[in-house]
Amino acid sequence: MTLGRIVGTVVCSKRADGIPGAVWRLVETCNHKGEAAGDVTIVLDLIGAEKGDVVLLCRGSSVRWTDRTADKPVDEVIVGLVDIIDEGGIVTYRR
Amino acid sequence: MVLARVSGTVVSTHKTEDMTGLKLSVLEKLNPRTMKGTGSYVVALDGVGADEGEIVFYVTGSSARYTETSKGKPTDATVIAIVDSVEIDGKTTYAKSGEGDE
Repeated sequence: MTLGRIVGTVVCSKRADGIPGAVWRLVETCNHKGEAAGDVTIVLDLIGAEKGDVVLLCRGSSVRWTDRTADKPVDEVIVGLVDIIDEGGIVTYRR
Repeated sequence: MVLARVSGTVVSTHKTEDMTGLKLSVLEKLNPRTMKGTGSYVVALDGVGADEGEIVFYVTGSSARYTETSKGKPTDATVIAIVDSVEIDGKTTYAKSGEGDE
């Protein structure tokens, strides 16, 4: 899994994913301090994250192992909202 | 999933039987902040009927086989949505013209 920060939202009405009420977020990859560190991708939001939140991302076929995404065409989802990250006992990120 | 613009179509008459009748689109990946092309292209199976010029996003890997059109087909990239609007860093960088007309 990787860390990312919510930077935006994508709205789309014509879809082929078959997931009712799907919310699509733009997420920028970030490091363990919450600093931006790379690409922006579109991810499915399963937990109701908000802009600025640091989230836990799951990628690949493992993404389909939740009730809402079973057998659905999704390759990246938000599986958790990050509260605290620490490195060697020192807190590097706090929500 | 990755944001992209449909920039063309691929026509292939000689292909595996499983691929018959499927539409293949050429997509250019987009930077959502500028909505400009990154110069990187992919060919994806079209699961939603997106026309040239439309903004879409596509799914990669084994998940690409999980739409109605792509089920059981040899694809690793499938367009799953036509984008209406993109909002990033509090700014709307894209809004489809004529939205809600359909």
